[in-house]
Amino acid sequence: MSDKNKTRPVAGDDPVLSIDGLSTYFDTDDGIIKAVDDVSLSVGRGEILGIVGESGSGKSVTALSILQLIRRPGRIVKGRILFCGRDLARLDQREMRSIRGDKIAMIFQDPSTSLNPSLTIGAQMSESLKYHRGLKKEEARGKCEELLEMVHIPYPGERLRQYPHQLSGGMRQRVMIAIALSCNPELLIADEPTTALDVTIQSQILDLIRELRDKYGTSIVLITHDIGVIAETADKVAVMYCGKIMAYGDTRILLTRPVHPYLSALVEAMPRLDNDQGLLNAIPGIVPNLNNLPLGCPFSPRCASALPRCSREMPDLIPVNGSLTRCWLASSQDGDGPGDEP
Amino acid sequence: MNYLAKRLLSVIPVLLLASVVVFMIIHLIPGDPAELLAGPGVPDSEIQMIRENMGLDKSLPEQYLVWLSKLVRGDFGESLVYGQPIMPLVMKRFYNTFLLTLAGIIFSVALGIPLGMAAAIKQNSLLDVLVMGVSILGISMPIFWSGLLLILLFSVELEIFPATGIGGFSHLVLPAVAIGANSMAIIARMTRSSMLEVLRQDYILSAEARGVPTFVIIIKHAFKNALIPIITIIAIQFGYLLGGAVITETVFVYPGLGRLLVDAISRRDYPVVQACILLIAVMFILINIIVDILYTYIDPKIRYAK
Amino acid sequence: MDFLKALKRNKLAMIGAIVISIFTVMALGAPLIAGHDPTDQNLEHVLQVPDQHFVFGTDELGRDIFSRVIWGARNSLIVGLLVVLLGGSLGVFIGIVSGYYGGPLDTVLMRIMDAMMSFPTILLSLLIVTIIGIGLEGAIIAVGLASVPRFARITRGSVLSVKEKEYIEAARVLGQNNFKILLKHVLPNCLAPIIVQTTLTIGNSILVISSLGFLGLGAKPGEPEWGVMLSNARSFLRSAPHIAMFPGLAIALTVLGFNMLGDGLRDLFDVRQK
Repeated sequence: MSDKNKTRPVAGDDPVLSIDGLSTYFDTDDGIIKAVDDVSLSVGRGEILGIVGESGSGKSVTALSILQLIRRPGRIVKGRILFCGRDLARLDQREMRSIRGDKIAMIFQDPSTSLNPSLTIGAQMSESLKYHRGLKKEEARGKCEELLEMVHIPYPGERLRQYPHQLSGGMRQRVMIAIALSCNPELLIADEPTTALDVTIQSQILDLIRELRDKYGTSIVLITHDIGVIAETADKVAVMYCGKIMAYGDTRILLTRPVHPYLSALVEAMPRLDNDQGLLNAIPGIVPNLNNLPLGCPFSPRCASALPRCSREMPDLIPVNGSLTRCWLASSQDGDGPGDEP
Repeated sequence: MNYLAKRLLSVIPVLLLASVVVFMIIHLIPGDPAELLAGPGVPDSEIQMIRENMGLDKSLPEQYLVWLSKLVRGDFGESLVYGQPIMPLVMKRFYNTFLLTLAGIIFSVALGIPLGMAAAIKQNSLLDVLVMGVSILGISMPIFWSGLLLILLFSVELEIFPATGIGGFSHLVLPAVAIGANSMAIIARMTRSSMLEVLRQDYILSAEARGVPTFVIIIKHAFKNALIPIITIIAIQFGYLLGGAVITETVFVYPGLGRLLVDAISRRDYPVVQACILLIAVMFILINIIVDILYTYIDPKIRYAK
Repeated sequence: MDFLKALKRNKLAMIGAIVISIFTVMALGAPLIAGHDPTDQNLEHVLQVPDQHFVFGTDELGRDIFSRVIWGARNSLIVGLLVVLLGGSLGVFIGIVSGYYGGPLDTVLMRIMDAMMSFPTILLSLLIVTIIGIGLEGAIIAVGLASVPRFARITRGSVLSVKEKEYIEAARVLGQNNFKILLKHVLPNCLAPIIVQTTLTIGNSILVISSLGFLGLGAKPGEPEWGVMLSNARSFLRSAPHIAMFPGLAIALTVLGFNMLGDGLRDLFDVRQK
C-alpha cells in the first residue's frame, strides 16, 4: 500500500485491523473453491470500511474469517489478520472466543434468523456481558436496558422479557446492534445489516451505525451488495469480485472517478435521485462459478471493455489515481486516466 | 389453561372412536358372535343362552351402548378362558407393561440423545460413522432376536441378570434394553439430524460471534431448538414400545399386557383381546396429549399463539 | 446411466443392494443350495453344533439349520413381496381416489389412514389377525393392510400436486378419461417415493411377519420360517445356543439390507418425508 499517504486519513498510521494476504478456501467434491483469495485490507480507528460485492464475491467469508467463524469444509489457508497487535489467524478457539463479542462484534444480515427463537431477548443480550464481563443476572439486566435505550428501543424492560417473534424486523436488528455494542467493541463487523429490512428502516439502521462511530469511535467493517449504502456511509471501500479485491481506496475518489469497469458498472447501476432509470442498468451476465474461474480477470467474461489479454492473465492490484485497481485497462494507461468504457 | 382444557376435551371423540373399533372386533370376525364367545363344542341351547344374556340379539347400537356403559363402570366382562372378571386381570398387567415401556423409553432416551448429539457435533468423524452404523443395525434387529442374544450373554453366560419373570430392578434391565434398542437407534438418528439442522442456523453463528462458550451453545441454543422433532419421535417411539412390548414380554416371559394379548388371540379369548387393545389405545392417546402439552412449554411461538 | 453411477457412489444403497441380491439368489436357488430337505427330521443328529456336514448345525428334531435358513429366505422374500403387492396396490388405489375426488371422501379416507398410521404395524397386524384368523395367510393380509396408509399418503400427495398442473387440464380438454389421465401422469410422478416405500415396506414386513411367527400367530410350527425357528430355539437356549444364531442373523441382515437400500434410494431420489 504505497499510496496510502496520498489519500485521505484512510488506513491511518494506527489501523485497528489489518488483513494481509488472507486466503480462505473451501474443499468440495468438485475441487477447491477459493472463496477469498489473497485479500489485504485495513481499517483505521473510527473508520468505516465498506466491502461491496455481489453474492459469492467473498465479502461475507472475509468477515467470518476475521472472527475465525469459517465452517467446514472452509479453512483459512494463509494470510495474517492483525488486530491490536495480535494475529487472529493464529489464535486457538479459546483465545478467539474471548475476542468475539468483546473486542470484535458482528451483526448479521437477517435479524429474524440471527436471534434464537426460543430464548428471550434478555437471555440473548446478557450473554456477552456474562461471558466477557462476568456480570451477574441483575447487573446484566440493567446494562441491557441501557443498551436498548442506546439503540432507541422504547420500553426496554418489557422488551427484555419478550421473544424475537414478538418484535418487528427493524427492532430485531436494533437488538442485534445492542448486543454487538454490549462490550464496547473496538471493531464492529456488519454483514449486510440492512438487506432484510424495509427501505425506511434501512436508513435508520445506517444512521445508527454512523452514530456509533461518531459517538464512540468504533471502527466498522460494513459489508453490503448495495453501492448506494457504501456511498452514503463508508470512508473507504473495497470492491470484491470472485474472492478478489478489484478496487480499494477512499470512497469519494473511487466512486466519483471509477477506474475499474466493474466498479463503473456498479456505480452506474446505482439508483439515484437524479436518475429515475433505477436499477435498469444492472450488469449483464452472471458471476462465474467459483470452481470454474477464467484464467485471467474473473470479470472479463462480463466486461464491456475486455482486452484479449484480460481472459488470459490476472492483472495485479496497482495504484491508479490515488486508489488501488486490478485491471489491465488501468495498467495499460499507466495510471494517468480513468478507464471509462469506449 | 384454556388450551389445555380444549385439548383434553378433544380426546373424547377419539376415545369414543377407539371404543367403537374395539367393540366391532367381535362383530367383524366371520361367524356368529355368540358362537365365538361360547367357544367350540358348545350345544346350541347354551349358545342361545349366551346370546340372550349378552344381549347379542339386540341391534348393534344398542349392544354398543350397553357395552360402553359397562366399560365406563370398569366392567370389561369375563374372560372366556379363566372365567374371571377381566378388569383386575388386565390392570395388573397394564401396570407391568407401563413399567416396562417406561424403563425402555428411559433407556432409549438416556442413550439415544447423547449419542445423537455427539454424532452431530462431531459430524463425519469416526464416532459419527459408528453411531450411525450402530443405529441402522438397531433399527433392523428384530427384538426377539436381540432379546435372545441378551439372555444368552447376560443370563446364560455371565449370569448377571435374570432371564425371565418379574421381580426387582434386575428383572427389568434386559427387557428394557431389548425393547428400547430400536427406539434408541431411531432417537439417536433423529437427534443427530435435528441437531445438524439447528447447528446450521444463523442464530448459532451469531451466538458464536458473541463469544458464547461451545457447551452453552450446544445445550442452551441448539438443543432447546432441536428438541421439538426429538420429542415428537420419542412420543411415537413410546407407542412403538407398546408394540414391542408384545414381543419383548413373550421373549422374557414377562406378565404384561402384550403377552396377555397374544395369549388371548391364540386362545380366542375375545373379551380379553378387546380389553387389551382398548387399554393400549388409551395409553396411546394419553401419550399424545402429554406430548402436545410439552410442546407448548418448549416452543414460545405455540405458547403465545394460544 | 447416471442413476447406476449415483447408486455406486452411495455406499449405503450399494451394500443394501448386495445383501438383498445374496438373499434373492439364496431364495431362488433354495432347492439347489440347501443340501437337505428343510423339514426332514433326523433323530440321530439332534441339536448338533455346526460341523462340515451340517454347516449351521441341526435343531431339536435333527433338521439341517442351513437348509432351513435358505428355505426361510424364500419364504420371507415371497411374504415380503406379497405384502407389498397387497398393501401397495390398495394404498395407491386409495391415494388416487382420495386425491382425485377430494372433498369429504378424501377427508374420511385420510383420517382413517392417519389413525392407522399412528399405530405400530405390529399392533395393527395383531388386531387384524384377531379378526381374520391366525396363520401365515392371515399374517400376510394383516401386514399388507397395515402398510396401506403410507402408500395412500404418498400417492395422494402426488395426485394433488399433479392435479394442479396444466397438462392434466389439457388432457381433459382433449377428452381423455379421468383414470387414464391419472395413470399416465400421476404414477410416473410418484414412482420414486413409491419405490423407496416399497423397499422399506418389504424389509419391515419381513420383520413383522417373522415377529408374528415368533409369537405363534404366523407361519405354522415346524415350517422353515425364521421367526418360527427362533421361537423353537428359545427352549434350547442353554443347551444349544447355536440354533438361535442363524435365523436371527438372517432376519437382521435381510431387514438391514432393505433398510439401507431404502435409505440410500431416498437420498438418491431426494425424496422428502414430511
